[in-house]
Amino acid sequence: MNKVFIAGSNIISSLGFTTTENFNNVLEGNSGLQYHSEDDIHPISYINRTFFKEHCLNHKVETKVSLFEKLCILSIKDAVSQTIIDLKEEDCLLIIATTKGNVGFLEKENKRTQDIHLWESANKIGKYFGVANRPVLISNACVSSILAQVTAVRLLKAKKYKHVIVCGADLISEFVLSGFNSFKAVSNNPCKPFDLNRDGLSLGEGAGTLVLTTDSTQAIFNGASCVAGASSNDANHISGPSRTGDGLANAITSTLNQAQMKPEFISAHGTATIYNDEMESKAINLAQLNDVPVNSLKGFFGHTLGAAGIIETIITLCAMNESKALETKGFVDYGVPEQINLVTRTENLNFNSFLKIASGFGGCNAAILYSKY
Amino acid sequence: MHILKYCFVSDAEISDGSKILFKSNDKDLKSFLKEFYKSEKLEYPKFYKMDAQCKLAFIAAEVLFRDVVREQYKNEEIAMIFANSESTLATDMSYWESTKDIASPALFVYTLPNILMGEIAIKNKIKGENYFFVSENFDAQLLHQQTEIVFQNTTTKLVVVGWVNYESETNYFAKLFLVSKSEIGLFPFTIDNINNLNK
Repeated sequence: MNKVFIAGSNIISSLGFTTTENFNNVLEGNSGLQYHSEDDIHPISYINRTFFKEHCLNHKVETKVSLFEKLCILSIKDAVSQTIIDLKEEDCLLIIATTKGNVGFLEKENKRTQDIHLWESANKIGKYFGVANRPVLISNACVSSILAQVTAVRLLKAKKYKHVIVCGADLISEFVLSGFNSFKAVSNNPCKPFDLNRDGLSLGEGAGTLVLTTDSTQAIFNGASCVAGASSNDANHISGPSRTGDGLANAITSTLNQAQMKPEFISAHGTATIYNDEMESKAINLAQLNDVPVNSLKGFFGHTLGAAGIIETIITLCAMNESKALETKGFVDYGVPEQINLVTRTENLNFNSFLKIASGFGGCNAAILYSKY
Repeated sequence: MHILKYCFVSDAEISDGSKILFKSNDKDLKSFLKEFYKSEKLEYPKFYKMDAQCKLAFIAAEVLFRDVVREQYKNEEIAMIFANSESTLATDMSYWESTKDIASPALFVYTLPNILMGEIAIKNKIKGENYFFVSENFDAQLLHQQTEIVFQNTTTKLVVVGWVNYESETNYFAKLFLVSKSEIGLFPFTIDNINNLNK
């Protein structure tokens, strides 16, 4: 079976405009979570719009597109520029993952327009790059950009394409913030994943892009490859995580069975809501991975929704490459029912494979495995 | 891959391809589905909490799973691959309207298109793979390709493939296919056959 390598990557978030900028900030312990004005009751990790505008001017996206589409375009552009891949070729596919895309448009005028549709965003982004194949758009709550990676690795292994570019992106909007607030899911303080006193998530926005390819000559991250992934459903509740963690454990087990290996590190979802973190500790135990070092990166980026899976995958790829176990920022006291091997401060650690996991509304769970082997 | 069963819902009519199973004079989706729910004596209180798109998907799945020997398949062996073009725009607009007063968590949860798979999963105890795609039009090639790679890579034996799109009370579509990995069924699950059935 052919291997799936990484040819390029990008992260745009409040911590920077490239993968390196973002990773260096995380290494230094800098969080993007901030209160932005006196009126703000929640710290959020959002892209400084002034800087973003300057960045756009420097990188020229003249086409008339929305901020969401611009975010995707710049992220894809940077990731692809590191490769020799031509998006116009037939053997190339673009996958966009987002939960809400341009939903912020409703805040100006609450009506149906063509521009608000997710497929229209995908078409505009595709058109910008002149792609040969119609872009695929996945919208599957908070696991969107993990599912996009799972789809990509399977298409590549089945030799349907040579290169698949996966971009996950979401913006903070009043729409989304008010919604999570209505669930009382947002913390008044920077989120505290897996902590005893955790009281909700912090929202974030951003984009992440991975260029996946079967062309080994373009491999970066020391030849690390995307091995396998899976998804599952709890069949339990539409807005609450499963009480047992069996759904997420199923996605993990399916991934490990396909890959025929055990991960040496786990990047958890760790949103810092009471029930998510509790469920994740149970799932990790059900999958018998309780000894594997695990962290949550939400304290750095906030919960970037549809982008979370891919941003956190890229950061963990960098960490694997640099032999670093990254801290779970915000964590102080252990506060989940099952024992997991939580990384509480950044330290040197050599690991050769990792699992990225997440769960979301609708009872969905997903897992993806990367390995140096 | 074979299509075992299929079910279409549109224009106040539910059909399984060969025959019309239910027809209402009330073209509005909510009243039409309620009429069906009552005539079938379905007892599932959660149904009333769902938004229109989920109700549409739920009813179509009820018809699809009728007469299927569910016990043949483990919960983890059934997957769902769905798509539509609207995502959840109608509910997005209702939710945003609600925020003028008090933001409604009961509406917010329905602003994610994959929730309809969650509702079907809960009712039918489906715990396998699930993916939601958004495309401008019904895309047989996309659904076919996704189904194929799910069968190839996992222990999935059955996939519920669906297009569920709610635009308004009079403009809605549900097209559900029950696809088996086996070589026995109504028709081979091919792009041509999907498109022919879709006509």
